[in-house]
Amino acid sequence: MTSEVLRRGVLAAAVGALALAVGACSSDGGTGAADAAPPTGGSAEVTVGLLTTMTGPAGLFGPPTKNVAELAIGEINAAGGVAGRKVRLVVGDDAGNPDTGKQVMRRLVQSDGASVVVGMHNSATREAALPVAVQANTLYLYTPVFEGGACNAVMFANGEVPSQQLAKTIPWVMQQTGKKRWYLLGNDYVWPRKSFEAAKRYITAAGGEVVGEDYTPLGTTDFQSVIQKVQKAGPDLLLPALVGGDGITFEKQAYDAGLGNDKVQRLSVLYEDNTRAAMGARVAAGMYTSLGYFQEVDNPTNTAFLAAYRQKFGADAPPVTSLSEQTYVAIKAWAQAANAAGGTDLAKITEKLKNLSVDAPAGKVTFGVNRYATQPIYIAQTQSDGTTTIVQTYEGVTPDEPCDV
Amino acid sequence: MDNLVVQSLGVLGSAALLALITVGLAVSFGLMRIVNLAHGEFIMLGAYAAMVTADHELPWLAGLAAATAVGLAVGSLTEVALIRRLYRSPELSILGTFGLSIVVRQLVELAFGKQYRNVANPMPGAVELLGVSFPAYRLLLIAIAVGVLALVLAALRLTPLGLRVRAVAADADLAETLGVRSQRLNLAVFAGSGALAGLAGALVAPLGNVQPDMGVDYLFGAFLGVIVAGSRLGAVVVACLAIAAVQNIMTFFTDPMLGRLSALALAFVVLQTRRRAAFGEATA
Repeated sequence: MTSEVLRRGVLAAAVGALALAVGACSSDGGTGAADAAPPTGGSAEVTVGLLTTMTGPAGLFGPPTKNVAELAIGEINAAGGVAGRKVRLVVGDDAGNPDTGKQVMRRLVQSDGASVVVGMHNSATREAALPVAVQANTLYLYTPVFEGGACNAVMFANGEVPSQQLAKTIPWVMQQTGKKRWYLLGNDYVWPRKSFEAAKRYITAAGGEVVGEDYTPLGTTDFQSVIQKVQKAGPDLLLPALVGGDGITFEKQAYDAGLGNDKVQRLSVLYEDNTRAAMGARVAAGMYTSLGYFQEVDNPTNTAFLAAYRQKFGADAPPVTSLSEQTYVAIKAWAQAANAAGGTDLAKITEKLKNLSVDAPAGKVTFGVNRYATQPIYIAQTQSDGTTTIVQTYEGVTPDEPCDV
Repeated sequence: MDNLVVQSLGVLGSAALLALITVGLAVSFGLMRIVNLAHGEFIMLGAYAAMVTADHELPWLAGLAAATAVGLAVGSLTEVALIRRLYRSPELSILGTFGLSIVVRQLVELAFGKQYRNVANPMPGAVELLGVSFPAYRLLLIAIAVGVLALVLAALRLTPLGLRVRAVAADADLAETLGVRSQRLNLAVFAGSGALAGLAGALVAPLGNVQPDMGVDYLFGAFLGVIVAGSRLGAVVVACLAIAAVQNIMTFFTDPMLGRLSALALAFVVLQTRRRAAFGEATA
């Protein structure tokens, strides 16, 4: 529709061209920058494709993901590369659009000759891009937190799935607070729905009760009536699965309506650093978030990782969240597997990846035979000054994902 | 009883929010028939103006003034550089303002980055009203929305400028023959539309997420308001109340998706009814 529209007006086309030019400048590392990546070592190099989102509302998470991917590639090359060959990174931008994602995936595997594609984007793009990877028989490492249920012979997924984020944390929150009445509030798409399906099982098993469940359209700006509905149901605990700006908008309005975290304790599954920071400390104080990585994780690997990140990209570089860290882990795991396999052959790497442990910034991460990752899960709590403290750690949490290919 | 009060206040609060983001669009669309797809970006610019003033620790009212000024300036610039060339063709105004919206988003992204920004609420928390607790800032927004709409309507109905604006809106050619310089008036109207959008941006900023892409989320609501209101500015109040009532009550008793759907259904019914009425007049 957009391209059709642009074709029809000379003036608009001119304006559009200017927009694209500005867009290309600003999205630094989108498709334009990717094409500009010089093929320094010719065919001797191994290419890692990174498919992520640099533009649009989710474009916030692309730049730090690209950063950590560069960091990982730099470390791999400094350690001698993969099976004796240097590694290069090519970045592709899906702009949050599955059709674009599919085209970019095709470009990465066909034109850029990516031997592996690491994907940090939404599930819609994954569903669209996966057939391209299957057809090209290219390894596809899907890295962000997601709803699970994906299973394919060319794919591994190391992001947190609902069973990991919720099985242990729901009983823990109930025990900490002594409360039982939950309200589930998510955006209306597959990830919140699958997460709540799992959540209901764990809540019931822990002796809790779900007093309400709602799904709001993405991009909601007025949560007034939803807030009134939650207040009427009278929960003590709230599980928000709201994405980005919607989470911020809901929490700010809920706080003002007397439905803040001091009244109803949150256990969120996606309120990462950027989201909680934009709510403001007053609103975010006390909230729990369950994810596989926070910058506050205290171990030597994470300390070294963050020091290298800040040194390479500066003190003002965007914070590393679970969304980005998982991409770093996937690339390091791939290199480890390829070195163990002595090359980049898909079948051999797959065998090595099934049961490979990585000493990740998050802690010990093990890629399993089910193509998902057993990993630590942390519960972080926002303090009244806006800082984050890890209040509970679960090592080696297994994903409840049957995948046998 | 409490339930009724809660619902009524909720509808008023939502209608006020909707009216604030709609009124600017209603001015440009209702009076000039310009479909401004960059209206959301004008709102976004207002929100950033409020953010910048707040970051410089200037008072909240300074943020509103700055946002209105930014909206006025951007509205004027847009009219001179773009809209002026598009009056003859609604299609071109859609295309041109769509392109403009992308440019504005990208420029703001270049200047401020993609990060979510926080504009602190000048009146956080809830107050007790008629026995129920209600967000204090929303109460303020209701008052501001009433004030803004009254001012806009008064300017149109009671001032000489308003008279000429209405004359041009009714029949630009005829007005020109009577000595009204429609081009200058169009500039004033579109600048006013921009100023109202900027002000709305500053007012909604404390209620949500400030980000370069935020405008799109408001554009939908604003167009819904304008579609239901039609070309009469006074109808904006009724339209926003009706949309808010339908959407809030459906959301409260069923679910948010049905809430949004029923607001769309309302717009559809209103359009059909209006069309039938128009045809009825034509054949009579």
